[in-house]
Amino acid sequence: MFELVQESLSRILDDHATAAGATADSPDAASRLISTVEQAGMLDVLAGWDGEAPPIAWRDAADLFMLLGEKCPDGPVAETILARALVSAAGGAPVPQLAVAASANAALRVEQTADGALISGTVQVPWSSIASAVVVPVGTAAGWRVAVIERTAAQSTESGGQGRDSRGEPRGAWALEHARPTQWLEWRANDDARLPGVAMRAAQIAGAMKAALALSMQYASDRVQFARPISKNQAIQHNLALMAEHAALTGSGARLAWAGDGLCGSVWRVASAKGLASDLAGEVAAIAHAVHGAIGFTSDYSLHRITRRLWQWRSEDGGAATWHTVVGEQAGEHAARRTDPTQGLWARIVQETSAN
Amino acid sequence: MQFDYPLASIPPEDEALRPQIQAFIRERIGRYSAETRAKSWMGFDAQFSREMGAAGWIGFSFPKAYGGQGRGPFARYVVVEELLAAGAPVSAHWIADRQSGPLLLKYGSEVQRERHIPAICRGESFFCIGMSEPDSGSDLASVRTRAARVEGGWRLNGRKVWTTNAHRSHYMIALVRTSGGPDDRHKGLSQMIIDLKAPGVTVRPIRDLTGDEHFNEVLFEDVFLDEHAMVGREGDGWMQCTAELAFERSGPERILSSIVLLDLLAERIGRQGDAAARHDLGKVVAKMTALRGMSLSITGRLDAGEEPVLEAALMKEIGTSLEQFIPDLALRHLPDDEVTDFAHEVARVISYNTQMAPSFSLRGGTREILRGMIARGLGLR
Repeated sequence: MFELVQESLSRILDDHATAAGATADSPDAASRLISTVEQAGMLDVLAGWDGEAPPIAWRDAADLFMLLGEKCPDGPVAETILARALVSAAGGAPVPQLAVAASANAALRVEQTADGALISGTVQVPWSSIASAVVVPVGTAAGWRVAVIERTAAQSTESGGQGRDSRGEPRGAWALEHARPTQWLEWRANDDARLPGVAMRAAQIAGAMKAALALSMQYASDRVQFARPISKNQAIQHNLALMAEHAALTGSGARLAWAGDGLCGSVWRVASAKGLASDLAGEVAAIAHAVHGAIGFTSDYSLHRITRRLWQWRSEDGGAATWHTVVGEQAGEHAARRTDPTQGLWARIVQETSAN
Repeated sequence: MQFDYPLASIPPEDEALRPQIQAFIRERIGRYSAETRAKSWMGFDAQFSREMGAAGWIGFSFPKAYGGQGRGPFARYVVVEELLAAGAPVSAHWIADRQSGPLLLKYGSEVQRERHIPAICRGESFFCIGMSEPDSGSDLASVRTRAARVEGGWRLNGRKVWTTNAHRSHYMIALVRTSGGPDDRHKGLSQMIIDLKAPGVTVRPIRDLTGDEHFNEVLFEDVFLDEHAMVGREGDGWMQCTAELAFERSGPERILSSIVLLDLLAERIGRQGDAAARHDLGKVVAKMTALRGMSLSITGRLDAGEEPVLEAALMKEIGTSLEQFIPDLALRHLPDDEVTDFAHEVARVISYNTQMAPSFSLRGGTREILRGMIARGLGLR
């Protein structure tokens, strides 16, 4: 099943990129892409409505988001898939086609009224100009919630930069002033509803690293200087090997983050994955640009589509500093409490990486 | 370009071994100071190995008919990672258990298996590997030690170097030339079992920069080897060596060489470290977490009969780099006197680990060679 989905989705993304050409990053093209993906039944690929199991188990979602990171389509494919996955997993009702998952914002304020929760604050919405609703995790004293908020409920919305005017992918701020969510869903008790979004970014980064590596390898094999391909240069070989190491480690972390029991329920796994992805993304981007030389630095050449996303995704949903510290706190606590010589850090890592 | 690490899990029946090996370790590990345990799989204790053998912990993946436990790679994985995580002194039986035994089981004759495997399993027969020579390191195919055919066997002449534990092992399995010449490179090489007590064998320990002797130079002067010395077919030596590489490069020993130091540091950071220390500790632990995933993945593929050579090389590279970084964690976050004053046990462990660290990326294929190999494996050349 999963291989079929991968193949179908790959083809849709490749076809769209070819057909859309230079206008691929326009809002119209982005909307069309989502429609195409929905018509193929793929937006619900991780969504289980009415208690049904999703077509693809969450434990296999890493590869899906890695594929999306690798292809980096100019549209919120990952975010719409995640939005539906979150809402359905929380027992919610189907959402509009262009409901887009956004990163949690700790500064969002919740006001509990007689008629329900009202949300205030700012949400950075991916592909804001085409998004009709946002799906966002919100922390409350009683635990995590998943809020679905329509565009019309926002005080104001910015479209955010598009294409080359943005950091990579477009993000527009929606200002919420006592906005009433159309759905206000409880996340699984004791689980952090931010984690699936964090795990998605880690997987996207892993996929983008793979794409950067493939592009760099192809370029190094094709580019001839001093009468031979630059791939013959040992420094380039070493740096490409280092890129491969980073991509492999990040991919492993991302897979662990989605596997195991539950809905990305392991803070240790997700934090490890995103911390690594965020940390290593910069070096991968740097090596890719080093291998490509000047041509890789141009707007026309496709490398920036990957590297600007690496630079963007590494700081969204928590950067390296945040997530390494989370792991370090748990690890330090474990080490400080230890009394048994067989229960050091590795024992904790064994426990955390066991069910796959 | 392909490298893939599908997730794998340890089967429940193998996971069930964990409390048992932990109990074995817990009963004995108190004998060893942190400094001794910091030697990791270079820590040698013949008595410990004999106790392991007697309790059936050696040769886990060897057939029961030869004294092993007949279990698969995941069972061995559980046992090995627990031993290494505790810093148990496994060096004496390490090579025999990890590669010499499996080599004889895969390519050896029945005579060789019966002669060696049961003793390996009992923890009474220790093996070392003869590969490098003074003029042959990374370019292993250029080895010149030669076994010439004579009546009843071979006569061996030459020299091996960097042979860990040759001075306290019973046998060496050496890669030697048995036909052709240096220009034949990989062709004409065979592996031979050598009794280190045989006449003509001279073992000279080489002191390493920490003051320990585990390396050796071994001289062979007209050493007679009998008919049962050759492993498998003449000329198959290179193939036999390379067939082991995916296995040798992907185990927990490529992640855990500095774990004893890391545990000491983590305890300090947990008790009194600041946010910066917890951040740095978290980065190390995140890497180890992802690395275990990679290591298990490769084990799963080996179990399925695959040879994930590229994936193993990648993993070894990442793992050894991390092992080498651990002393840096101490420098960044411990007070200077805990690093410099040998009155502190942690200072002694930091010093030892720091000095040993260069060897982590030299042994089993140097970093530079592996990275070139990885680039090739990705399809670059």
